[in-house]
Amino acid sequence: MVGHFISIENLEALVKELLKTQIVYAPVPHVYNENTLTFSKINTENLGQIVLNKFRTVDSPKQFIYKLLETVSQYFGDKEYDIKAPALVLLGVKACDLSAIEVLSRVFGEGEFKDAFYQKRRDNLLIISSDCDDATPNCFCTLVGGKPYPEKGYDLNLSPLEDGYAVDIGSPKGEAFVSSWKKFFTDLSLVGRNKQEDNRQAILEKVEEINKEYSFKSSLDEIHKKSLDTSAWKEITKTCVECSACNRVCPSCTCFLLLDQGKSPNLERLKVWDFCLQSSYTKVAGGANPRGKLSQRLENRYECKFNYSYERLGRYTCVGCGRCIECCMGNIDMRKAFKIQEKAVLLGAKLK
Amino acid sequence: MENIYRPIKAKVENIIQETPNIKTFVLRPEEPMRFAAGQFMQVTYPGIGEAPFTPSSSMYQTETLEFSIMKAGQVTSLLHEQLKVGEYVGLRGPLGKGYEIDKWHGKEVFVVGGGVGLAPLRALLLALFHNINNYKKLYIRFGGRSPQDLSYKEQLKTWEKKDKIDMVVSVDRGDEKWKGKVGIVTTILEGSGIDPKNAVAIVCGPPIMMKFVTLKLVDLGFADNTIYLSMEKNMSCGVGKCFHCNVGPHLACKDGPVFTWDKVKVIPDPF
Ligand SMILES: Cc1cc2nc3c(=O)[nH]c(=O)nc-3n(C[C@H](O)[C@H](O)[C@H](O)COP(=O)(O)OP(=O)(O)OC[C@H]3O[C@@H](n4cnc5c(N)ncnc54)[C@H](O)[C@@H]3O)c2cc1C
Ligand code: SF4
Ligand code: SF4
Repeated sequence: MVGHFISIENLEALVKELLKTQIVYAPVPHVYNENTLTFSKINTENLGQIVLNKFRTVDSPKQFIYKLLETVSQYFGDKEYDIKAPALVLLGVKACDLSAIEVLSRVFGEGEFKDAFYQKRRDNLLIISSDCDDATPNCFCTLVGGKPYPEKGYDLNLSPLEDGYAVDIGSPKGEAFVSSWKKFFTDLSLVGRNKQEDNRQAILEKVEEINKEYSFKSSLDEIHKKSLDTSAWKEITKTCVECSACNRVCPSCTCFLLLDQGKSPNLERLKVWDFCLQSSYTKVAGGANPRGKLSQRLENRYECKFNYSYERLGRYTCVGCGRCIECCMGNIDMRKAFKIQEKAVLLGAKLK
Repeated sequence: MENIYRPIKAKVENIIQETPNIKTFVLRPEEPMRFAAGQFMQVTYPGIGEAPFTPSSSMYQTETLEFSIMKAGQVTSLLHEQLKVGEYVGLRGPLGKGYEIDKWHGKEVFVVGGGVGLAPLRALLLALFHNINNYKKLYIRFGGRSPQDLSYKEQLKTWEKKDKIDMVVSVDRGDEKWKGKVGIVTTILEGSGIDPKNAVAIVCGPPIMMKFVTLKLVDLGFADNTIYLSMEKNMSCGVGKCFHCNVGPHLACKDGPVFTWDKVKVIPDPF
């Protein structure tokens, strides 16, 4: 495949150019912890701090397409709600997050009912992703069928080479972008892809090495399908404090709540993220709760990501970003939970 | 793109007190809203909240829709206490799938309900009555806590007299005037003479009742895929996006709200 090349200087010049007309977000080291990255709005001052490769940000790009809170109706007039979704350029999105965006797009965009709010934001996004060249101890994309470098779901992808990046085009939007900014790109064949391939192999091996103790004998959906063993779940849930941080940081969690408020005539309906770890999530009027126990809720979260999602979408909806491991104050590590589950399943199988 | 969260305006035409805690609201939507028995709608009390309800009126009655609503929490309490005839509410729908009534042609239909579960079942029965000759026989088994907790009392009396209908109503606690059966609804399921091999059972009621009725029906010989259960889950969007109402891998708002027992029994904590 013919590709493009962009030098480091040209990339900086291109972003500078973009800033004149567009809003650009990119990973920048966090002020308190330079080893972590967060998406920041780019301006001419912090432009130099952008970290394109390394690993995924602490916060996921979900925030840009699926708002924590937004007004979705000021009934009854608004047949077509005026959705305020400015065009955004997201730079440095990682493979796991691209995979999560695919989940969001399928949940909100497929089926009989389509969420115009998500759709408009997604349509107004230009995604320039990049390869990982490092990993956090919690990254496990390789366990869920992912790779630490983007293969789809981007408009453009940047893989680091000597003095610049290999640029891969992933969509007509990406194609149009490159042709409108032609002067910044050169022919990749002058440089070649060897380094891209070497880097990719190296980072893949690194993530596999991080997760070597978690290579499962069964597939994760199989583990979850078979394990209706509640005692294992009780064990895993012991240290959970129901903070829902895992829900909040997850790039692929989609649950929300509609909330009505206001005084006539200024009434509005809000769409707000909601969290399946909270007991209010399934409580019905009258107080009954089909998932009244925390262990049932944690089990449901895992089932949702690995088993139900497999039935519903034919894929895992966990993308292995490890954010929920990183943020859990109960030290609950999904991978260890799978191990406990797998053990329970294998033991159960032996007993039969 | 159409906004899936926008309700349609509907005028409150009448409010009927059915029982001390159930009222039927007769609504006239500004845009036509047709539904199939078993489908539900989201009712918005403007500025207060939205909650899912199944129309209790006939799907063949097209100008107005009736919802029988039990006072149960925040939104339903305010609907009961504040909403007046002539005011407006919002409606979104119809949502979910209707009952597969065409699949039941030639069969006996066993309809079991309790409490406010009679609401969706009234819509179902009115649909079945409309083409009654398609079905072999209808068995109706309703339960309520006390005689005054039974909705549609006058209507029930007229149904009882219809051909091809075998109806038993029971209350947990009777009073001086009550001449019917006394006991929880599971006690009136036996001895109907129904042939479970050529029948379907439809159940709607509070979670605890659903659970015991289901176990009883299995006991009586109903196959798992002939027991239809209304899964009344906590629901928010109603359109398959918010995931509140998941029943294992299924969503009550999209794949339900009615599920057959074979689909439900394999998931942890169905009720
Ligand atoms: C498919 C289906 C059909 C049903 N059919 C009927 C029926 O025919 N008759 C009947 O009586 N009941 C029916 N129910 C049950 C009925 O939906 C509940 O009783 C009702 O939701 C209780 O609402 P509440 O606010 O009074 O209760 P609460 O316990 O106070 O709240 C329950 C839910 O209401 C929603 N809610 C509360 N406040 C707000 C707010 N400010 N904005 C938006 N949402 C809010 C929330 O989702 C909350 O979880 C049905 C349920 C389902 C799922
Ligand atoms: S982050 Fe950890 S402690 Fe918090 S709810 Fe999730 S699993 Fe429980
Ligand atoms: S479940 Fe955890 S590891 Fe999986 S995508 Fe969500 S935050 Fe990342």
